[in-house]
Amino acid sequence: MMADNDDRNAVELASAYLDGEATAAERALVESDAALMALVERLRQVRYAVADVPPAPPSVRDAAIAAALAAFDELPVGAAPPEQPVAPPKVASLERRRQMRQMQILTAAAAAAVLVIGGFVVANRGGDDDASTADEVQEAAVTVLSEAVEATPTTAPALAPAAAPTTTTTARAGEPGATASADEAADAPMVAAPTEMATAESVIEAAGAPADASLPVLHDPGDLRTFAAGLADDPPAVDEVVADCEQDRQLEPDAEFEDANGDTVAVVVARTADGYTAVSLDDCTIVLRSSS
Amino acid sequence: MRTLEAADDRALVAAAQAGDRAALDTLLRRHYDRVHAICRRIAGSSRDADDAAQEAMISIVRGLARFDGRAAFSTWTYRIATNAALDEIRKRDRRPAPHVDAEGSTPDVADALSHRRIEGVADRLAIDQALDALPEEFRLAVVLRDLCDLDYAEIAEALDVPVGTVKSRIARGRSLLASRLGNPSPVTERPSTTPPHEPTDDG
Repeated sequence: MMADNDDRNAVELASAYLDGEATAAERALVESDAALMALVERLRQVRYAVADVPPAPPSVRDAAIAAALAAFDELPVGAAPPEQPVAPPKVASLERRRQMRQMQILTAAAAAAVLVIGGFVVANRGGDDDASTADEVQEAAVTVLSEAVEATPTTAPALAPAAAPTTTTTARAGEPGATASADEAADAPMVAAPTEMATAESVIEAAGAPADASLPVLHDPGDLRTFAAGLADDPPAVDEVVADCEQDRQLEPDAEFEDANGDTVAVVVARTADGYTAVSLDDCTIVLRSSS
Repeated sequence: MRTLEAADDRALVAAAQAGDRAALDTLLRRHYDRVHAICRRIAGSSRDADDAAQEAMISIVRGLARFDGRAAFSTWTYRIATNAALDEIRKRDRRPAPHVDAEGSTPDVADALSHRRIEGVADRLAIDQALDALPEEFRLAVVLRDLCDLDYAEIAEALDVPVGTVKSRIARGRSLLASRLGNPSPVTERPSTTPPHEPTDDG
């Protein structure tokens, strides 16, 4: 085992040397060791072999470019660059998702409490003092909501993103500054919705906000692996998920998968013998696979 | 046309985003070979690579409006090509296995260079097979490094993994390739998510 580790360290050292990613001390070490230098040369040959790719025939190349230009011609006129750059979607941490779910649950509980209190007060007053009743309902609702919000962790994101657009309006696509602004927007803290949510209607509306807003977006096996590894419980077996999906059982999506075309589909993460898969809820097929 | 060919990617991207078809054509032609090469190395067969490269070209066009210039245009296209190739692999996995691989057929051997040509084909088949046998994580890292010449930090960003993981995957991928191409090396077969010496961040 120790020998395996030593061998692997040697390979990693030689590989980093080949790539110019070794430190000065590592370079000196490699250059002073004939065996390591021989290993560097072997890896260099591999590098040449990987880079030696036969070009596509001109007809294939022309066809591909023609197809791409045809796609360009089909784009809507004026499909200009966006005013605000779009930050790349990132996989939300499990903790963040938990916090968002916790907030949604608390908000829903608060909404239910408001309705119960409101009903109770109205029933007791018999509707003979409408103004007073309304005030009391609102006061009770605000109290319940305040308690609910206070009960959440201080870092918990609430229902609406911060006013991100105001931080990005000057950035244009293609300009270096755009990136920083987009990142700032993506990382902006979430802020609580305005106080008008003290009305029962707005609370219910908020509690029913689309769940997709908190779904992480997976692009590749690395995303899937990271996401699956962060789950508190083992995902269900892929056979089970596909069977449930095909029988139209209601499955709650874990995430969204975005393909190379930018198309997204809701997916359920499932376990396989050697890793994870993402099963599309659209057609119950596996759209992403990774080893564990 | 000469002006367009001399223009850098940034200028071509801006022109294409503004609707300049000729600029887009120039941009696509400039990057097609590399996109195809990535697809070829990741997807394995030339037929799948052809399909994946075409899909990648279309995706580049459709996504161009969203390209914000944060990364180099070439790096952005590499990622699209990588995803297109992986999609092609997934499609292939869902298809019934082909009974004959056209690339496996023997080329015509009627001229004086035929011997060298066969050797070249054999070499390419060997590297194809060796790459195909690599775990996907290793293959992606090696291709992005050795074919696309991305540095470790760029690969880490593209694959969304720590730099230390990139370093490890490239080294182990190359070592496995060396072993399969006739240079024995004792590295273990499967990727480990936490090699004993692997840093957990950019170290």
